[in-house]
Amino acid sequence: MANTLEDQLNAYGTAQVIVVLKDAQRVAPAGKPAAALAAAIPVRESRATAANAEPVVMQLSKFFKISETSADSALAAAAKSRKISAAAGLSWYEHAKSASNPTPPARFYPNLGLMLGTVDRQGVQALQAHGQVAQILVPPILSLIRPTAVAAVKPKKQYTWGIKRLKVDKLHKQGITGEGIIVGHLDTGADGKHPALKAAFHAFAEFDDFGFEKTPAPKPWDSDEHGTHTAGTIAGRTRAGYAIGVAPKAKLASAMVIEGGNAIARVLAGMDWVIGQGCRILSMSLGFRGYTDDFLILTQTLRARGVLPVFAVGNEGPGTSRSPGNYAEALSIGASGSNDKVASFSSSREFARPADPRVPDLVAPGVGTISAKPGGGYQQMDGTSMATPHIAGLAALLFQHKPAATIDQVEKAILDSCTLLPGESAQRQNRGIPDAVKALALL
Amino acid sequence: MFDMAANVHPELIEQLANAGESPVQAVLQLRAAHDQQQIPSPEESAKLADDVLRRVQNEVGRPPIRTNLLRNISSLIVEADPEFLGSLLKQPEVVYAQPNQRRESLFIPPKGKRPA
Repeated sequence: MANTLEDQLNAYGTAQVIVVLKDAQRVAPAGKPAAALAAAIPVRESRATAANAEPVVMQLSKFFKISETSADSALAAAAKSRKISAAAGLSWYEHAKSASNPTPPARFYPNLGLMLGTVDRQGVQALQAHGQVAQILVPPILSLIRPTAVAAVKPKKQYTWGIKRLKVDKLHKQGITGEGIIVGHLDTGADGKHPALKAAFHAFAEFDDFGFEKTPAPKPWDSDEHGTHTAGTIAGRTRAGYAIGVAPKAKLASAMVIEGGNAIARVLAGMDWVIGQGCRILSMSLGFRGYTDDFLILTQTLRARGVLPVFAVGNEGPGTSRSPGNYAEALSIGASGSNDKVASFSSSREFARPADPRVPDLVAPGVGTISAKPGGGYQQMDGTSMATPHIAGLAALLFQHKPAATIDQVEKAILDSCTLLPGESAQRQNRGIPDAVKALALL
Repeated sequence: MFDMAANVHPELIEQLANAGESPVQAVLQLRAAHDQQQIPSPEESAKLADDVLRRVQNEVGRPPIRTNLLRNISSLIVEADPEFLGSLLKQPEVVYAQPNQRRESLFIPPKGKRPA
């Protein structure tokens, strides 16, 4: 396409040009760039706006001409071809052409010190000869910056580092995805509209401060963002290339139990409800600081009802822990990073008890964990809360593989599959990090 | 102040002591008096709750304000005046009691978060 001044003049007899005025004709900038564009006014209307430039601009405007190849006329022609209202353009052009009603032949941009219009060869020569014209330019043709290559692609599964580290992707490749397993999830709720989660719910519940279930049951939603993240790690579906879910075909029985107050009844009601939903696993990234018996009988009851309690140990570092994540009856989870180090924040503690004196039982990926964010999209979080749903999801995979397995058997397979992280003390990591392939073989 | 058979959380004792005649909410764990190691079935839990509430009501002469039985985990949530709860905590079926409203949150805040 011809786009030099000479090319256009040769091809059409006219050319659209930008005329750069010398500095003296430029009006002081007025505010934001948008204001400068708003000041792109027809010359006839510019008299009051740019009084100091007026004589020069009016002189120069005589060298421009209305043309069928100008931008304005092109708009008018387009309107005609598309049968757009004549008043929108065509009539303006026809009207402007009449000698009795000369339409401004150029636009003046006072803040920029530019004029834009169409000129013929004589007009170009006149502009070049004028003492206040600094430069004559051909307007650049603006277009989308296109990629250099385009090809249809199917989003590739991009497993999170945690899924890869646990070798869970190898189980997925064998078709073990948690299908048919319901995982209990007690947290701040979970965003049921998130693309990775909307197909993941078996049920959702919300409890009031006295433990009564709100009816009718609300659609899944998150009062915070913690629950959406943990839910995504357990059972998030692969979307937009992100494979965030350890058990991407498992279903969630998710209840909102934690936002807006510290009512124990809500958490207990959630536990009671999870059992009623037929869950084999409860993932709970909640806990009181230190050791307290408050959930001990409840954790024993969960086990007696065939629900594996997978609880976070806490984020307060060495020598600390949270209840119920520090019970011998819980599968207690600490956090590790992609560098195979125990996260500095991950709690750990020794108790003077004969059974399972050291917590956590194991560590799992809990640093830089990518999972779902309420409202769509993804975000990274760090915490033992992020490690815990990895193991809940792993348990779901093992239950799918062997539905008749007891919770003790699944727990043992996970514990026995662990390998120690090099350079980390036993006090911090206990058994180390699980291996999904090994756990499957051990079950 | 309260003569209790159950293992009672100190915060509940404090709430009962400071309540005056105002109601208090407590969360109780129930077990059969003759076998406290056995976890009751949902049906047994319902019967335990019914029995213990009726007994205390007869003793105190009035019912609790409201109750919520979580049958699958043998938990009974009770809102009642301190006298009623004091009597309830003496019952042999109540093995653990804690306040419903706690000072501390169970929420474990994440240590860090970033856009993915």
